[in-house]
Amino acid sequence: MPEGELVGVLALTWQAAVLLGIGGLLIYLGIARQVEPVLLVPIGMGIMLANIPLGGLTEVGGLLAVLRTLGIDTQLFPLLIFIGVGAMIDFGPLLERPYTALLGAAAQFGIFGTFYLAYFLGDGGLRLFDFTFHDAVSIGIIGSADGPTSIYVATVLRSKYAPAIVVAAYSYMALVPIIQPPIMRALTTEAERRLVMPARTKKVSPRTRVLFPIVTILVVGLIAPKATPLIGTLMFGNLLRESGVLERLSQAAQNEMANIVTILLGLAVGGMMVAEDFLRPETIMIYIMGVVAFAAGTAAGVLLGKVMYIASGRKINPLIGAAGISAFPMSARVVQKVGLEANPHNHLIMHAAGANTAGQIASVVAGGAALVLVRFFA
Amino acid sequence: MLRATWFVLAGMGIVFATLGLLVLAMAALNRCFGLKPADTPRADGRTGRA
Repeated sequence: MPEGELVGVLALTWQAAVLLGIGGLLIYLGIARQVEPVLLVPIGMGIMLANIPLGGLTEVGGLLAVLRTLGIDTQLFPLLIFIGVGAMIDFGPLLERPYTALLGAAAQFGIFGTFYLAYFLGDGGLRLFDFTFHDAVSIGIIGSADGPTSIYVATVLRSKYAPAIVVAAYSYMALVPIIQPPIMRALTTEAERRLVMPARTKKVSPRTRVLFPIVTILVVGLIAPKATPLIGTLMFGNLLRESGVLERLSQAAQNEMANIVTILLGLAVGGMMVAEDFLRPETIMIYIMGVVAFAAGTAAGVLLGKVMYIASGRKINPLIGAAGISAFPMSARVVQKVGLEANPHNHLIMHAAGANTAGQIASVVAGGAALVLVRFFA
Repeated sequence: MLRATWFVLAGMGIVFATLGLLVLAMAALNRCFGLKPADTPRADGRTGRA
């Protein structure tokens, strides 16, 4: 038996050592700093396990390889996660304020704007990076601020950067409270941020709540059929929640299933970050593009919010547009915080939650639209 | 890059068209199935007309 099989340290490359350090950093951030621990700890551990020399977990038949084949290459894990997400989301704030759906739509410019930039830096223009049309679309999807959608689109398009894209998408969701506020402040005036929006008292009927997921599946599925797996599972989960007769299944989707799949998904995603594939200039650029994606989405949402502010006769606070990116519920909380800074009596959380849940639907639609359109334009 | 430009325009167009339709659908749902004043609980906790 060769010596290297007994002593892994002899087979340790500097690239693998860097990845072991990154895995350790994510675990540290998750546990010590409590930054998205549910995601970062399994991902960090997956990275470490995948980069232990001669560990064999990413080879055919290894645990991480099996998880990737069964859960990610088939898109099973992101879809199961979406059932849990749907069961957790209360679409009431959106149903009370349907117009906030348009803010969710505007924020998806983060996806398409980032795609445009990535393609320009790659095969479409400067050729500085090895970014094909498909890769650029997958990179743009980071702007969906939605991990399952990022995994789904990047794997369906078979992007070679899928691991980096997925890790970037999940990492930046934790950084929403840092990325968004400067952009929100830069694009709004003090007077706009101070604007108080009255709380709505009109409640949504239970029948509307039950019909909403079904209507959404029909509307989205018929316009962007490639989004059907994502919107179908998201809204199925929401139907479990709102039906009123499936409490047991709703709780199982929100807790047991979501927790188990999160563990497996995190390990599998981390396991995709193998040193020789990951440490490339393109990967670093993907991380930079991730910031661009979140910033562009935030800016587009706030700018449409400003249009609504003027069109409504100064009744809509443009800050709520920032919640149009679907980082749920972080971006709604960020809007609340920035609004309170400008005016201690300004509680925007429910209005922002409407835009935030709309962003969840809009990001799925954008992902489906991208998958449909890529066949015509790539 | 022209194809990329059309891709962006078409993509945003689909997103706005879909979400716009959803706005109409939500408005219709609220109109058809929204809570009527008579559904709001009175002081005695009952609904319907007094």
